[in-house]
Formats: sequence, structure tokens, C-alpha cells
Amino acid sequence: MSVLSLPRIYFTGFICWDPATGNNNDYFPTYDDEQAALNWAFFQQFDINITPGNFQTTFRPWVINNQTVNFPPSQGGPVTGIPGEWNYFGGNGTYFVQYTDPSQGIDRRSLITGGLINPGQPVSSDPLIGQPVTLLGDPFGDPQPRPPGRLIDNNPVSVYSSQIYYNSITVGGGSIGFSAPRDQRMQSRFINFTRNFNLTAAGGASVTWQACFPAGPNLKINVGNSALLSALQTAITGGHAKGIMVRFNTYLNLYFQNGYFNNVQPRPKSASDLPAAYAAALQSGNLFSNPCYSRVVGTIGPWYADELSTCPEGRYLASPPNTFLCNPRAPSPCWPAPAGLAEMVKSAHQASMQTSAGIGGPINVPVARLKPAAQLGVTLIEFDDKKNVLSIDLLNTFPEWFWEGEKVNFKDIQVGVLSNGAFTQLTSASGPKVTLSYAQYAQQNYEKAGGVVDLPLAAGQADLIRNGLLAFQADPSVWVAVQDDDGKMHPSPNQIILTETPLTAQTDRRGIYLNENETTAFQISVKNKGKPAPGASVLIVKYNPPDALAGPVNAIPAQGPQVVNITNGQQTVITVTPDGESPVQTNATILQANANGMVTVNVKAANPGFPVFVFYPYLAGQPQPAATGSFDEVGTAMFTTIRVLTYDDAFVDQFVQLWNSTLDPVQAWNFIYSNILYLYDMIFPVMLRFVPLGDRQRVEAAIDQVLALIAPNYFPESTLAMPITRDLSRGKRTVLELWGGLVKRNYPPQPISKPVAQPSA
Amino acid sequence: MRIGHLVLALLGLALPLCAPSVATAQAQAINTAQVEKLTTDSTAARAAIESGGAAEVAWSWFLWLNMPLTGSAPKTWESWRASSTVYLPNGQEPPPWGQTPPPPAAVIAQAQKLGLNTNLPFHNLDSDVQSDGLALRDRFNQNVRYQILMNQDTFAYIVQNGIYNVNGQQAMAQANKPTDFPPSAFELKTSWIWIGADQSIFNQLNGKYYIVNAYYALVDGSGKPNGLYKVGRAALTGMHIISKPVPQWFWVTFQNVYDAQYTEATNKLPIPPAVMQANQKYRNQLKSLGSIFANYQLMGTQWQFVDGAGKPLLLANSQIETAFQQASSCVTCHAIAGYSVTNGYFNIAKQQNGGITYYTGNPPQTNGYNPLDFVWSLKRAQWQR
Repeated sequence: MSVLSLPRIYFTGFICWDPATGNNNDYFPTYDDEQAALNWAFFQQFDINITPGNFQTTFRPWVINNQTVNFPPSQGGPVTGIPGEWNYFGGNGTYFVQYTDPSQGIDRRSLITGGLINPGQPVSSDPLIGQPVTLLGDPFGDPQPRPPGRLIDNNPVSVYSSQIYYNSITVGGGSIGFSAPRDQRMQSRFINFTRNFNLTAAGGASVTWQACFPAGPNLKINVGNSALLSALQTAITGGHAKGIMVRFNTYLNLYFQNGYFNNVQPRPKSASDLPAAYAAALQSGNLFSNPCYSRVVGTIGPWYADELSTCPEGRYLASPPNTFLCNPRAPSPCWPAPAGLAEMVKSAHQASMQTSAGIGGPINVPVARLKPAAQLGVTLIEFDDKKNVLSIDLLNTFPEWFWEGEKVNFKDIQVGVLSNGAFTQLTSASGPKVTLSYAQYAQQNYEKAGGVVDLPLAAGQADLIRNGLLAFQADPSVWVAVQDDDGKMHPSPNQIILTETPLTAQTDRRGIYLNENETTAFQISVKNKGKPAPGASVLIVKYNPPDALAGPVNAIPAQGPQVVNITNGQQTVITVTPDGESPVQTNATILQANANGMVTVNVKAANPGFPVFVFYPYLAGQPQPAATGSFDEVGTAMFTTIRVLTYDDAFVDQFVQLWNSTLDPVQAWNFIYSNILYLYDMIFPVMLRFVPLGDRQRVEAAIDQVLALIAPNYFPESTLAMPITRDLSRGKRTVLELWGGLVKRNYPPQPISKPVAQPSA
Repeated sequence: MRIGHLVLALLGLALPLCAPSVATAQAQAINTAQVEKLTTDSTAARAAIESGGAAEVAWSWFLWLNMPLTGSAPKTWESWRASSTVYLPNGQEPPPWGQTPPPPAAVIAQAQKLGLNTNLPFHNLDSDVQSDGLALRDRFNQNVRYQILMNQDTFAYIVQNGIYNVNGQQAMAQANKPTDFPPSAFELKTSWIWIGADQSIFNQLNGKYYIVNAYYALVDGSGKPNGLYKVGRAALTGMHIISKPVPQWFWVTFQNVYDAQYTEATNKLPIPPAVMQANQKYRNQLKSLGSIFANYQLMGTQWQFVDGAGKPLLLANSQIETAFQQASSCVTCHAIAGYSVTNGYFNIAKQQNGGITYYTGNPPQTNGYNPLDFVWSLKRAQWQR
């Protein structure tokens, strides 16, 4: 029953994202992701004067300034941008913001705002309300965990593989609150790129995150005199819940906010300010972060058996394919608007004129660029057939208008069930048909009630709900459009804007890392309308992005390198059609769920790469689902991502031979730098503040810390595992450890041996 | 140094012998006999430490080391051997005590151009890294720099046992012979804001900090010296002092009171009340003398791992243990100083709770490592090549 059950504890606030952007490749494929190297071939192809011989003096000046690269028309034509992008000095930190500046009227704290113990009786007075919510990282020096955690993409070029590594989440402190150590890292779920009508690109996206914490000695709850915490603890000690669930949505992403969300200097207001600021920072050594900040709305509640830890489950509703909600007053609406049509809400121009007095105080207001249409995000529903209450998780559902957080008004929405294509509106406990009113999904209620709405139903509808598909239907006056293959919008034949996908296949093991020829297994939870689906089948199809540029992620051709092989289940070959291309054959695997609805997938790395495994569940007796040729429904697809790290175990032999033939510390260092450290020295300059990776003396002086942080036991979950980006292959790590061993012994003039434990290719 | 000379040195008046009467009266405020005894008599120091006089011992060491307390004459410690003159690049035996190699000619030449007094010592501030591998920046966008020095008895032990190179340390490890310095051994770790030739920085720090001539060698990215040096002045921000009146050594650390103003570090550990009382007493005495060392305060002392309740005892200097002050126990971290023939030096970084921190409280087992008697600076030794 997740956080949709009771009790619930609500929180709102802000989250900081401080990724290093040197490897983002949005403009140029600077970073060769498969090889975890600078992309020398790209530099050479486009006559960029950055070579293995001169990069230490040429790369940084190039990466911090505007560049134009004349890509051929087949690759989209010329592109201009700053290769290092908006946060070249980022350290990948992420944390819930607790920033105030009374002199500017700024109060951007992340706090508990309320809760619900009994249906329909919101708790507005409890000592837990007003307590901070904190995301902590693993200890660094000081033995106590402290913010930040880390934001790390499994595939740094993708938009669908973000992960939050963290040590723990705490609420409150001292005599009231709880401290919950990490069970496993969080994964971005259900990304919705049209979450905001006026914020562009990544600014307009939203993502849901979930973390669960098993009951036990590590989960410390100090109830104090909080009724909310007491109820939560009772849910656990009563034996029903197995721990605590924290689910939150991050949305409304604002860039260039130094001075408003932090006290960082300097304070660039737009990308045009960056080259000069970057140059000054490199000159002075005062490297600065320029993070992105998002709003946060979340709910804390009990975690029950059969529920995944990091993926929200329940009855799963998504926008019907290619279905959009239109703004008739957009500059280029979905189709011509009749004269005199009332505005949906305020105009983009009006919104952009509002420069302050938003939630938490002033900000650097972004430029408004009105979109003509948006899709609703994934929505989860639980039905309590004992209390006859439909609880709807709207955390990720409805778009906001602009940065103030005001929700777009799509009028009242009918909530009902689709049976054989016919929509039946449910009946509420008080008599009338069930609607989700604007007031219920509008900003105030959204923020106050953790994005959750409870709809009491009249009795006797359980079978209808059990047998049908839950759906949302818009008022006839709302413009609902269907997009054709050419991208053109047409009026939809119906007003269904969300509909249930009964079968789900989700995994906690997203963001898998594999080394050369390494194997692992992961599990998929298959559910039918929120309940385990024993005996169901899952068709798994593999997709892989083509190269270092973020391009179409197409199914892997059966004849091509497979990147990762599935070593169990029924292997088959199917034909799929990638977007805009001819049909291709691709390898697929069919696996059956066990009695608990769980599927185990065994995999083995075959080549470096970033495959995406998409899961297509189906029930016994149902036809095998049709797989897409391209992985492009990232917001609704059920999938996992894998990074197969660079194949360079051979480096180990090369290093051993180099040392044994020279016994020369300088040559040993040059090997380490030019094969491993140089990349991080260039792409992640924040290291200049800690351990300058191009400085042998400094790296040697930190060898104790380096060896501790590259250790394999820290790779899976530590927020401090080095490199932060987790692209250090086993081969490179082994070489670093060998070199570290020499440093620890002050370079004995003696030969070394390859480690016995080193697996060979 | 005998007491008569000590008084004169205290006043910065080695010559002439006729000291002004006012200055003599001020000098009487400092118990110079006690200062010398607690510094040079390890038995007396131990008795004082064990009977609650730790702060007195610490201040005595600081005063004794910084004599003459006024004037521009070099201080006692400035004649000690810097580690850079002991642990030589190819592991060769260092020149004997009293034959400290002079600064490179290029340093002197540059110093003369800058108008520095070349009759005063030039300190080789050969490091800008703390023991956690990180650096501390000052407000002038430079890293705080460090120098380790040792007294004659420390130096003598190192030379006599041949542990100025790793070959010697390895031989001791293979013979299972633990390192064991004499009770009179002293070692210093000092921290510095680099002034160089910048008159503006000098003007800001002059009168607040003890300032010396200094230099350091420039190296390329692969660690090779390029023959160039930075030469100028440097301001003393902190000073660790250790000696061995007790087997686990006695750990003392001082800082300049203006450090938070001129470096990006603040003190995370409180100064104990007894130490604050001692600070008030001695800083007033130094102030009455007009000594620059009135601007320095004792941060604390340490000679035990845990308190009576078994809680780890901490001691840190914000200039030297900036980022891990809350996990800084001098005595614990140095208790694990050890060398293993197979693994090299013991790793001080402790994996804990998904991150790294440092050992505090009772030290962990270091089986397989030959103890280095708390002296981590032995890690600077090189192999004979």
C-alpha cells in the first residue's frame, strides 16, 4: 500500500543538483563514454587542436568557451555552445536545501509540512511539522555523515538513468524525528519532459524518486510527542509494515540561481556569463558551483511486503500513446483557436514579468517559452476495498504553468474505469460522480498533501475497479490532441488523458555496472493491477545508444555486438522497426515469473556500452507484446540500464611490464596519468580543489585516501567512491592499486607482480 | 642552553650584556627556569603532565622553542633540521648535525634581488598537503604550506639507526626491531601563509604573525624539479610540537589567533578551559614583552587515547588538520605509524560507514607493521638508488 496508505507525513522544499557537466555531451561528444576517455577522434575529425600531446594546455581553454563545430547536415549541422556546459566545476553533490537569507527575504528550507493519520483529517499541528528533511552523504574526514549525496548517471549521456547515492535520510533530529540509513540508492523514475508549460529543456522535466528503509536496529525513530511518528512506528511495530518509504518528486528545475539558493560567488545569470567566470575561476583557483535547483514535494509512509524499494508501484496509469493536453492560447496552438477563446491561464508574457515574491523569495527568473501541449506523467493509484477509498499519487501527474508552481487548470477531471473501451465514471461516497477537481490537484493542495488525493467511493464498486482499467477523462471543453507520426496534432477521438497499464514489470536493480566479461543477476517484479503476477512472462529487448552522442537508442541488431548477453530464459529473435528506419532483427529473451511474481535475469557483459533492457510483460494466454524498435518512451517504459565499463584489463600487464623494465617512478606516474587520471583532470576540474590529478606530488600525498575510495567494496553504494562518475574499469582500478602499492612503499627499486586475484579476459 | 643565556635570549638581547631594567622586570614575569626544565628535562615534564600541568608544559615548550621571544634573531627551532635535509631523494646519509646544507644558490640570488636579509634562515616549505591529502587555501588564493623539523636527538637517532632511507626501515622491520626514539626527541610541524614578495600580503600580516624567509622548489606535473624556486616570506599560522616525556609522546599544538581571518579554516574543536586559562596567562606575559608570539594560542594537548569514560580524546589544528578536525586524535593517528615490508606504510584513512575518516581513541591492531614510534615523518624516507 506504499505511501498511499496511512499514516502519511508530507514534506516540501528544494533539492540541489550539482553535477559536473564536462561529460554531458549535449553539444559535442567531448567525452568518449564507452572508453571513458577524451574523444580524440572527435577532436581530430573537426580540426580541434586538442591532442594527447597538448591537452593539458589546450583542453580547458576550449571547454570553457563558446565553440562552434561544423557538423555535417546528416549530424544536424553546425552547433555552437560551451562544451563544459553550465556547471563545469560541479562536484555531483545533491541535497535537500536548507538555505535562508533574511536580508533578501529568502527562506528555502526543506521541511515537514503535515500529515494524515485518519482519512479526511489532515494533521496540521504536530511537533514534527517544521522539522528539516536532510539527505546525507557518506562521511569524509568527519566521522558523521553530512550532505551532500551524489547525483550520478549510469549513462552520462542519457536522460533516463540518474541515480541518487546517499548515506541516509534524516527527519528532524535529537528528541524527535528519524534517521534512516540507505538500503539501496535511488533511481529516477517516470521522467516527464512536459511537466512545465513555460520552462524549456531539462528545466521543464520532473522525476519521481523513492527510497525505503527496512525496520531494524539501524532505523532509528524518536517518536517524542509526535502523533505522526507514533502512527508510523505503530504501522511497523504492529507487524504490518516492513519499514519506512520516502517518495518524492523533483520538478520545476531552475538554473543559474547562485545568490538565491546559496551564497556562492560568482553568480552567472546565464550561459553568456560563464566563459569569463570559468576563466577567472581557473586563474584564481576559486572554483565555483553553479547548481540547478528543483522543487520537492514528498510523502513518507509505511513500506509493505511485496513492494519494491526504489520503484513506486501500484496501479499504473500513463498518458495514452501520443496523447497531449493542449493550450489553445499558445503562440502555435495544436490547431487554430477560435476567436475569443478564454485563456487557459495567464499568458507567458505575464508570467515572465513576475520577478519575485514566489515561494521562498526571489529567484533569477528564467525566460518563459510557452509550449503548445503537455502530457500527464505516470500516476499511481491504490484502492482500499475495505474503506472504499481511492488514493491517487499525483506527485508526477499535472504540469505547472511556470516557476511559481501554479498548476495548469484542466478543469474537473472524471475518474472512472474503462471496460471494453467504455468509460464508466465512479460514484463517490457522498453520491455524485467522482471528479478530481482543479482545487484537488492545484498547487496548494498538491504541496500541502504530498501530491496525494484520497477519493472516498460509494460501496459496491470494488468489482468494477478490480476488473476494469482505471482512467481519467477530461471535460469535453479541454483540448485533447493526438500526435501523428509527423508530429502534427489532431483532436483526439476521446477525452481519455490517463489510462491504466495493468501489467507492470519493474526492478530495483536499475543502474547496473559490469566489468569486462562480468556476470550478475537481477530481479524483475511483475504485477497485474498492483498485485504479484505469478506465471506471467516478460519479453526483454535490448537497446543501445550508438556512440558518445545522445542519439536514438535503437534495438541492438542480432548480428551486431550484443554489449550484454542474457544467459537464461528462452532466447528468440524478433523483428522491430527503429524510429525512421527499416525493420531489423534483434535478440530477445522470454522469462517467466515465479510464484511470487519475480523474474530472475542472468546477464554477462560482452562489450563496453550502455544497454537498456526494456521489459514487456504479458500474461499466460496473451500474445507476445510488440516491442518498439527504439527506446523512446523513457517516461513510461519499464526498463533497467547497464553500463559495461571499458575493456582494459590488459592495462595491468602493460603497467607491470613498464615498472619492471624501468623501475622509474616518473614513467610509472606518466602511465597512470595518461591512461587514467588525465580524463578526470580535464572533465572534472572540481578535483583541483581537493587533489589536483595532474600533480603527482598531490596525488601521492593522498594515496591513502585514493586507495580507500577506489576500493571495490565502495563501488556499489558509497557517495565517495572514486571517481564519482563510476567509470573506472576493473583494469584501470587494478593498475591504480598497483601504483598505489608502489607509492605506499616509496617506489622500491624492485619488480612487481600482477595481482593473483586479477581476473583475466 | 643554560639559564643565563636563556634569559638573554628571551629578551632578544644576546648582546650587549647590559639589559635595560624595564625589560628585565618584564622578563621576570615568565618563569624561565621552569620553561627550560619542562623542555629539557623529560622526567620533570612527565611529572607535570601526569599531575595536571599539561598546558604549562606545552607553553614552556613553545616559549623555549621561540626564544628569543622578541627581536629579529632566529628562534631556537629555526636551527633544527628540516626533514628535507634528512630524508634525501636517493636515500643517501644526510650531512651531520651542524652542517645543514645551505639553501640553493638560486634561492639566495633571488632573495637578494628581493632585498631579503640573507643572514637569516631560509625555510624550505616543501609541502602544501595535509595528512588527509587535501590542501588548505589562504585568503590570497594560495595553499597553506608546511615544514617538518627535528631536534638534534631526533636527528641523531635517525642517522644512528640508518632509517633516513627505506632500506634502513625495512631492515629494522625484517629484524622485528621497533623504532624507539629517546625521551629528549622533539619534532615540529609548522604551517605557513605564503607571502612571497607580495607587499600587500606582508602589510596585512606583519605585526600579527611571526614572519620568516622561505622558499620552495617548483616541480612539473610528474614531480620532477624544474630548477626554479619560489622565494619570499611566509607567516607562521600553526605549530605542532611533540616530544617524548611519555612513551606515547606528548602532543601540543599552537595557532595564530588571526588564522580564521586569513585562511579558509575555522576551529571545530573547543579549547579546554584549563588551556584557555594558560593562554590568558602566557599571552599576557608575551604581550607585555611586545612579543609577536602573544598572537599565538595553545589549542590543546594530548597524551592519552581516551578519557576516563573511554571516550576518544581529540586534538586538532585548523591549519594542519582542516577537514578532519572532528576525527583528529594526534596520538591515535601516530600510534599506527608502521612499516610493512610487503605493504609499505600503514594506511591512515579508515573506511567507515561508506566513507573515510581517521582513527581516534584506542588505536587499532597493526599486525604485520613494524612500529615507527609515532613518527610518521619517517614516511618521507626514500630508497637508496
